[in-house]
Amino acid sequence: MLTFAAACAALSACISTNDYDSSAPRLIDYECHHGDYELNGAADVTSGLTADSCAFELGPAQGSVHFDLPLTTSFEALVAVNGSDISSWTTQNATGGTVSNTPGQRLRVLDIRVRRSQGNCD
Amino acid sequence: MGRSWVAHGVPARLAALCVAFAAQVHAGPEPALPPPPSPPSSPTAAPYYPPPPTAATEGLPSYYFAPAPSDAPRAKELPAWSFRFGLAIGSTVSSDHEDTLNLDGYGGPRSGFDLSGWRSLGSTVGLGVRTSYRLRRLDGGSSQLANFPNAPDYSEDIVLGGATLPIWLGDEDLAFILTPIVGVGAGKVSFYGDGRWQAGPLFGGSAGIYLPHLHFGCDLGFDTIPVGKSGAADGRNNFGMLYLDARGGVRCPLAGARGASCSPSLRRALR
Repeated sequence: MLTFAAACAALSACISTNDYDSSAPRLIDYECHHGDYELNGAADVTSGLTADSCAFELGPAQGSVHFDLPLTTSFEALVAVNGSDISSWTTQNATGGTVSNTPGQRLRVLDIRVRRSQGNCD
Repeated sequence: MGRSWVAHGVPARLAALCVAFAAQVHAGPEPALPPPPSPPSSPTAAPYYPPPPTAATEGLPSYYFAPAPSDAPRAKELPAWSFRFGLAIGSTVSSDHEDTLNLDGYGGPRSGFDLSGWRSLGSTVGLGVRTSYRLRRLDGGSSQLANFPNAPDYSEDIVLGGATLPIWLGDEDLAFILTPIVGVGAGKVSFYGDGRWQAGPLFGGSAGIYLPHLHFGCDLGFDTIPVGKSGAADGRNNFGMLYLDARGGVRCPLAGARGASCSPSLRRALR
């Protein structure tokens, strides 16, 4: 019983401190305006949520965009897939500061962010 | 990250204030008087009318014996002309742009100012125009990580204009008013102050209470202004709004009240 209580206490402490510190929105604009990115294959820079913001279009052939970032724990991209107007944050195509598409897929990269865990439960 | 006036209960408080104000005005401060004497059933039943003073009626004001209210000139129509200024607060309508903006960390209500005017076309309907300016400024927040930039603020500026067809149901004390609107809207959204203007058709309407004698009212309204994509990689945007609006102004003059001048609602309210 005591062991179970101690495990619960440890778990709750872990959950309560396992929030993330995150970079602010529109990191993609900062990278874009400073030229801190590299395009490969079927990739292009365009305007994003507004006419004065940045986004990247990948596809339909293989393409990728790499951002020069000091990565910490995780890198995520806000993307819309295959002409869909529904966006979501994903790590699926985003690793090590690079976002890529699979051949035949059109991907719009609308923002990026870097996150770092606050807790000690990694 | 974005500030939320909705979360602070601003629309709910504004609505409660409007309802309480309407109830207070509708109830009226007039003291209760005993019922007036009945008129004679026939000219021969009594030699004259009103009857001679008695202990119960002595001292009552002369208007107490005035003809029945149905004979008095009492306006039950829309004012011949109406000009009102309004303040609105509300939420955006659903759009792909708004959904992505929320995912990106921006969100909050939209505010608006509007000027409207109408000309009465009859006892329950008018024809008018409305023009509005809507704005939204959203704070993107600060980076929680060192050596990363803070977010830019998001801004929206929207103007719209349209023809309205106010339809009135009620009396001089309190009325329910429906106001459909058709027109055009244009706006600009940006993160760095360099967005592009977009325009689209406007369809919508509002419904609310209206106090004709004070020329004040509160409306709950909805409109849609689809405008397409604001940026090349954006989804469809919409400058429409679901809003609560408080309006007051002047009317010039009351229909049926010849010679009356424009009456500021505030002056009448304080009377």
